[in-house]
Amino acid sequence: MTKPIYALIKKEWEYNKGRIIPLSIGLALFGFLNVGLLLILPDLIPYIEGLIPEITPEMSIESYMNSLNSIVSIIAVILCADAIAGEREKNTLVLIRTKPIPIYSIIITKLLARYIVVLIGAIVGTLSVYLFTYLLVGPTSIGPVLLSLLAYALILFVFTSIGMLISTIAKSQISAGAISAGVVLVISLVSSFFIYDNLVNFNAFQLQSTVLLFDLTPLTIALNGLALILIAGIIIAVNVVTFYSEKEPTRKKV
Amino acid sequence: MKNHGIEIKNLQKDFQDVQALKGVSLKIDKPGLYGLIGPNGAGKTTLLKCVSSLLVPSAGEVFVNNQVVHTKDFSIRSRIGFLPEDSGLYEKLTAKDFLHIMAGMYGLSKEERKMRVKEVVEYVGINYSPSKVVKYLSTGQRRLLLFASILLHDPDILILDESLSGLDPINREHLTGLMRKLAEDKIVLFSSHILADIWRLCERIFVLNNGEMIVEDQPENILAQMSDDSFFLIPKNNLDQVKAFLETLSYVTNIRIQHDKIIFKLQNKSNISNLMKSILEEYELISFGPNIPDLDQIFTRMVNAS
Repeated sequence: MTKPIYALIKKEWEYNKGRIIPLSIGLALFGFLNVGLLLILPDLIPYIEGLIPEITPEMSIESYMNSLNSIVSIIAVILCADAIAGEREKNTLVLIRTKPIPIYSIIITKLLARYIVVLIGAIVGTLSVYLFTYLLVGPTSIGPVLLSLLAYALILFVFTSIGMLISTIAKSQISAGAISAGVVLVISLVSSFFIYDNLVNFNAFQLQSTVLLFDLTPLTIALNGLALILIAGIIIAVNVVTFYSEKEPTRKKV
Repeated sequence: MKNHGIEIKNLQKDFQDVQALKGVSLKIDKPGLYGLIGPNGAGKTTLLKCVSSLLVPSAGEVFVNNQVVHTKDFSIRSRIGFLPEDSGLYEKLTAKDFLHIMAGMYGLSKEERKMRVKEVVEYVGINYSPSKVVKYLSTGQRRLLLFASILLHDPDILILDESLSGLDPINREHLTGLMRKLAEDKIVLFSSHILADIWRLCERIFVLNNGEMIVEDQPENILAQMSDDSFFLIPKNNLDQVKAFLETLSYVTNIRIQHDKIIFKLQNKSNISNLMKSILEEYELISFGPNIPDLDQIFTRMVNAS
């Protein structure tokens, strides 16, 4: 006998592996465009040349990490939309629910499958930005880039958990995707207003930017990271309880 | 003989303001084919889902193999094979991968999976390439694949919700043949809208209406209870004349015309030979016999009577 969860992991892998390469290529391309645009923008629009400072490698990396928080997070939650709402729409959720697999295992497996796919894309995108920055703008240390990426990995985990929760509650895959994208956008926008002054120490949702821009103490970084893990944990727990308490867990919601 | 059975005690299930099941009880204690019929919204699917541990009852208890069914207790799911009415399939997978994943979800090891998938594919008679992608399968092939998937863990109890609907006669016959074979040592409880299938296959029938169990008996007993001792005859022509002729006979009562048939009762069954002699002297007949109501009529009568 083996654990039934391994079969669910295999199924999720079979269904999500095809997304890794397109997503990685897309984010690598996005990284290249990000660096390229920063370099050619002053030449394209000559009158803004004096308004923006000279491009530095740090600025190039920071610009990408900022946009990563909104764009990649939205991709992650849209991918989560099919996790529960999509299966319910296609009437395949009953195939899993009739098997001896605990609800928390279903939620965590589906969440991790999507999280890993997007994280691989984010890593490829970040490394390509580092490479393009190194080649086109100038050399820079990789340490802060990796720290920023680690911070983003935690933020991404929270957003993926939000995407999963909304997929469990939503009536359809489309509404799950749309609501999740809206929620992520609002969180990213609101948190981006608080990266100044004393608030910077408490802005966990912009940790990937603040570690690059400010001299945060290791304790602040650790506490923010812990806060993100805690938020994700709470969201997952709510998700499991919500899924468990559904009256008709396998049927389409109307 | 394995100790398997289903026992439902006073089962109730409420969905907000709708009472889907109102104190249903039933007991199945030996292998065989058992049919569950009822009009739309009678509570058939809800009942089957409660037995399969997919729904939590509002009141009452369900026992499978003498063990209380609970949505948290997964050991029951390893003993039940539930085929839902409108289940989808993982379209991107091949038929073989689908079966392997389903077997894995029941906790079968790699070696067991390999062996069981091969056995079940042969047993069910999947005659297309297992490497065919699910989305290219026909309705019959999909149904067969789903059916195969619930046999992988060798369950004691099979619960089939409308498993025969949407199938062509050949596939339906194939599937009913399999169900018969499986019923030799397993409990097969199935719901269907195709009354003829339930009637000819099942050794016991449960009729649900409006969340209540209204009839529970063997098909032949139900048929005997529902038939009213009337006879029918179909004359070659002159329907009205034959009816008028019957009205002249004192021992023939309750005469009425139904489509191309004349339905009537006899005061005494010993009058049959006299009746036939009298009629055949005057008219030609196509058919004559006891008037057994068709299954739809029996079903409607049972539901209306409840």
